[in-house]
Amino acid sequence: MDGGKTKHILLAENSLEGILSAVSYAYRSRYGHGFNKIMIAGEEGTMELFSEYIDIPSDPEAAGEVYRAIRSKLGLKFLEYIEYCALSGFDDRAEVIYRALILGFANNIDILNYRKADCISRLHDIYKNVQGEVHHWTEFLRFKIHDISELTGMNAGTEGDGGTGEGPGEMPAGIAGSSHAPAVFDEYSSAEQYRQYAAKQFLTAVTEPRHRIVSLLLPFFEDRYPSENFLIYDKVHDEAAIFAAGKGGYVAQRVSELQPETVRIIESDNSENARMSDLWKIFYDTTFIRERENRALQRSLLPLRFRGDMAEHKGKRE
Amino acid sequence: MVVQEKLTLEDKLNILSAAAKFDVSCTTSGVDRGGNGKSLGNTVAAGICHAFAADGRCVSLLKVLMTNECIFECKYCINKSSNDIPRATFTPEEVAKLTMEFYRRNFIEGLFLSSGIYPTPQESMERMLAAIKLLRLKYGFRGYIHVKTIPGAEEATINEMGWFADRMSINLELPTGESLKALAPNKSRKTILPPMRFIQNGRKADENQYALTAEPVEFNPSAYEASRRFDKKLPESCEGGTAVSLKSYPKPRAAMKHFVPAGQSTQMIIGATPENDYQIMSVTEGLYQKFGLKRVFYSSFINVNHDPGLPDTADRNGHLSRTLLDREHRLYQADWLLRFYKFSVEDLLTPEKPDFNMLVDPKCDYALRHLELFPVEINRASYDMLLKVPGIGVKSALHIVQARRTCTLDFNDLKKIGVVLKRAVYFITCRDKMLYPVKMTEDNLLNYLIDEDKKPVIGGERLTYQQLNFFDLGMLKMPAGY
Repeated sequence: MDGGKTKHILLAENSLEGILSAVSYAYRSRYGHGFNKIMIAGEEGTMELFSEYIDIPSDPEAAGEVYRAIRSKLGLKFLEYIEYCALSGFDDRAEVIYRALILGFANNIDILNYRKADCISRLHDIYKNVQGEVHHWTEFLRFKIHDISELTGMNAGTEGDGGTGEGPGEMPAGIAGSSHAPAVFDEYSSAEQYRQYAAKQFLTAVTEPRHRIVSLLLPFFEDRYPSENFLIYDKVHDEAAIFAAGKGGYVAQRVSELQPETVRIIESDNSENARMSDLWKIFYDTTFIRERENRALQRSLLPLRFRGDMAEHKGKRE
Repeated sequence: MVVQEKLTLEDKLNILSAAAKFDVSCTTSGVDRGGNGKSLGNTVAAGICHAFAADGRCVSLLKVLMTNECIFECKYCINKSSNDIPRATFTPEEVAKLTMEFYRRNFIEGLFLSSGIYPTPQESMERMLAAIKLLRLKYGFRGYIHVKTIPGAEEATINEMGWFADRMSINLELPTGESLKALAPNKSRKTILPPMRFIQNGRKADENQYALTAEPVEFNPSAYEASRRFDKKLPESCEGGTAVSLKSYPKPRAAMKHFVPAGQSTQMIIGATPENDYQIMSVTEGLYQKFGLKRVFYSSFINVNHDPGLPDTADRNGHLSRTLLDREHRLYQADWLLRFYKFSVEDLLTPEKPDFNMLVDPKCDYALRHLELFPVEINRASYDMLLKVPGIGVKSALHIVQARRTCTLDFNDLKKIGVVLKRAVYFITCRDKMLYPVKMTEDNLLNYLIDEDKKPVIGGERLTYQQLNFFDLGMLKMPAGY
């Protein structure tokens, strides 16, 4: 045993606040950084011998102190790296943050460029990985468009051939009474009409990311779809980013438990989405140049795990 | 010509996307335009791919033709006027609506619009402009729009288009004027280069205007310098083309902020005509330097019309030949070296050695022919020199320069930074030591650098040595005829 001391394993809550609280505890305890290790509670894996497990509850005040110290002493860019790291799904994320902070606070150097240190190069790796995951999902996320009346349950026929649920009375002329074709391809005599049509809809998408990235996807889609209401549901971590046009967005947690209705709506579909998917499939299939076929390249650029919700890959065996 | 009445939207999309698929450009990069908080769409400088086709090419734009009716007779083109294929035409409203609905579902990043030439170049351009304006003005679409410039359209229309599109492109089609004349009798460099120059000048004028007005409050010395430098000299600096000022073609009402902000691109067909790599790369360099292009694309020729006068590039199974695809790959690699690695064509190829080495990439090839520059000491070499090392890219060179401010780097650290040691290891030292003792001769290093699967096989084993004979040693004269 090093110095005959028992190792302390600090179990932090699974959030940046939790991890920073544990860092604060580690500093205050004066037990010695060499004998501390921070892990996320619930992800201990195999228990280690000769060590004491300590649960560290989140302490907003202590975490806030560390947070402000990082911001003022190590800079905003470093803070961003730490935040991404805390959102990642890697087991060693808490420990990497802890070691990087020790190094940063102790040395007056440009810490992010000190790539020689294992914790810093790991921090870069994690950051890159999370960023890559965010980028992949901005590429491959697919939205379904629902009518807003589905939310309130006014329209019973949302599934199957139920149409888009427009009441004929409330739609502007030119959209109403279009039973022969989906409303979307009717002529709008003004931009305002199209805006009214779009305002009655909301967009839903499902992701299955490796890291908890919905809070990072939200600003991107907020910028892209300011005029839409949308919801991005993370199936793995049971989180959702919700945005209302003109009002702003937030991230909701434990969605399936607290809002089972939302999950039901996400899973429903309508004929208009089906028509757009068909059109998209026609486009996608004709764009392919047979003489240049290269499935291996396609697989490396678009890994199979992203294909679940992509219309063009539905029902195909790759 | 097959005349079909009452095509459904599905039919039209099928015909018009198949007609547009041979245009290579599908990038969405080059312009960073945030949302305006009101209407749909933004663009990201790095570009976003939303799907990948089974040929591995990224699908990020709704790539369609406005119409595939065409009066031109280009031998390589599936839409040439003498071909008997189904023809269709989109209405501007259909294009706009498809784009909007695909964009809202995150299928695409924007629109790529091209058109067959029917009935005249000017009218095709006007029809495309109608669709783009509809999208921008009526639907308030702020995503990416790439439009083809039609050779022969009027400047006023091109100008207006430039204010609504992000990128414009006009295809050079073939590297030399003679080949163009042979394969595309209706096109000529006289109709292709002036619009290219026109857009280049428009972009310059727009940048200068921006430099003058961007910081009205604060005095900005660099913007001031820039405005002084370009303002008066603009017509001279664009020799050989019609010089334009913003005054002659005003910015249209409700246009986007900038004129063709993502720049211009072009495309050349390779493998249809006998040009060598040196000629192609020289043309490319000229386009980047003289015409300020953002990208040049290379497209392996596919004989879609089964024209007996043109080479057949597909093999028995209907796949493009490996050699042609490899050549295309080498051209793209060299293209990157020109744009990001500060190489010139003369560094890579010479009239005596006009084609790329198929065994190693152009950068390795350069390093092997310039062994006097290597090995390079990682902890001291300049950024420019680091860029010339095989296995070190733009990003890793930057990371090396940043990291060595705080510590001395070793081979292990380079691996963490992302250097491809497999190639770099023969050309670098860390703390004045190479990782392995390596004999620095061209033959020896070439043997190390060739990918295992590309080495010739003799008797079931990969060749690891070179068979010497008396001819190599100069002891015998090669008999005539060999």
